[in-house]
Amino acid sequence: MNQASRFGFRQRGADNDVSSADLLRECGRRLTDAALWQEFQERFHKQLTIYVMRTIWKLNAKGNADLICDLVQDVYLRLLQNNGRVMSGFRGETDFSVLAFLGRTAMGVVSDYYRARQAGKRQTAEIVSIDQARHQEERSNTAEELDVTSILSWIDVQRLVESEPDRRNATRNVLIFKLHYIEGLTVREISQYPGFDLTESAIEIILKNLRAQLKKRMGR
Amino acid sequence: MNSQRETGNGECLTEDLISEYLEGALTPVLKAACEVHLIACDRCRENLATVMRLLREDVDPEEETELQRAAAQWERRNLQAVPTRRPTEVWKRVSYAFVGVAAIFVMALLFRGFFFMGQPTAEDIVQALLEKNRPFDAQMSRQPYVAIARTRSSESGPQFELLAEEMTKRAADAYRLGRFYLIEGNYTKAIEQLLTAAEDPNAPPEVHNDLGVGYLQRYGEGDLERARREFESALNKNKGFPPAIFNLSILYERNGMSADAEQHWKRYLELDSDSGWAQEVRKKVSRKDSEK
Repeated sequence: MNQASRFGFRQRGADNDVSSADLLRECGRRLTDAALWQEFQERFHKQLTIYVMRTIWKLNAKGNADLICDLVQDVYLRLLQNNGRVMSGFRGETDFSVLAFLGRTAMGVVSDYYRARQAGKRQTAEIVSIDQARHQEERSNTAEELDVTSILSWIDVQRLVESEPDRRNATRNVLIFKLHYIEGLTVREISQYPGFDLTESAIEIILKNLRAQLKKRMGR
Repeated sequence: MNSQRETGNGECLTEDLISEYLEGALTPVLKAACEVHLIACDRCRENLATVMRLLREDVDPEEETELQRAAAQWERRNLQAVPTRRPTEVWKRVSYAFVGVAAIFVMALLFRGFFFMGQPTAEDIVQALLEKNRPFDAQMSRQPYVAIARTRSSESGPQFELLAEEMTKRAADAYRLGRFYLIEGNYTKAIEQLLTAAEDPNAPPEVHNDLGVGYLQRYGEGDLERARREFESALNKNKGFPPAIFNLSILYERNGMSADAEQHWKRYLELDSDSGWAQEVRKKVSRKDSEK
């Protein structure tokens, strides 16, 4: 079932390497094992830094290298909390699940930092929550060709699904359509995820077909 | 992120479910159910998009630049993921190492000729320190290879003060003093001494290389450019001077200039294929290859 490696998410553990999930659990169990942690840092430090950085930017905040380093350290500290229980109790098995777990942890740390900072300033009116940031970002996304956001708000999604010629994948295709036009994800970003199991060109075709369907319904 | 809650469209997706959906790890039935929900539930779809943006593999150039800056800062601040040993143990080890070095010199003074076949020179002290401990990633001239230890090991302390006195007693010249301060981690003092040494138009490449290391480590405003100039000066005097090539690769790496860094790794390996330094370079090359 796992297709992560096919889509570029590096899959460890195929040869003699310990798998990422096992490494995570072992690090949680052996908090002072230098060699294990060195391996952890080599595999995940860069990713953690990227996740911290992206979350900072998503919150429309400015983060310099110093702040990024501080927050990455905070992520490590959070992983170590309660004697590393969150790591040793990790239940995933795949590399992707480990990355998703680290991504969520990084996002939590950065969000908490900005929340605490805003609370410290006692300027609650200026707090930018993740939801607010998301909506700001949403507003700034420009739809291609059609003002699809407003059109979709009129159209019964169910009908769009029903009109999709590819019946078997109708819901997936409509979801892709919404991810692209409403959430602003690029075709490339969508194609990176094994859950969609599609190449960039296949996604382009889906979007083209659904656009044509919409135009037809709008009588254009 | 999202928590479980009931809506008119069914139960919202948990974080784990979102991850599993993206990973393609759900059964067809569960996958379809998730899709039905994601089409209708704006909040869950927004969460899905947030996770997709966060985890995407592509790193754009702006991110890459910031990433390099953060990596350099991490290195400069000597940060580490977690204490790899209990702090007291680390400090004990570091202290014992320096006490050990100091003791060797005291013994050497008492039993001249036995340890060093004569009075230990200032360079002997520098070399003994370098053999015990690697102060940073960069390579000083004539530095024996020691694997980098992710512990703070370049802190000043009474042992260094003791050794500094020994250096002065041995009439260490500006170059040796500069090297000594580099190992101690006092980069401004090191640069001061090494600049004096580099004033000599006949200063060998070793001086320029070590001065470059001082700038690279101090990492203040304009220091990277100064470091680059010094490494280039070293190479102008000896175009096959491995430490300068090694250090240029680190400098380019920190600047986010991966292609230049890789070019210098290759150049380094042409000059040095067997040492520990070469193995370290090879490790970097293979890590870079696996990231591509």
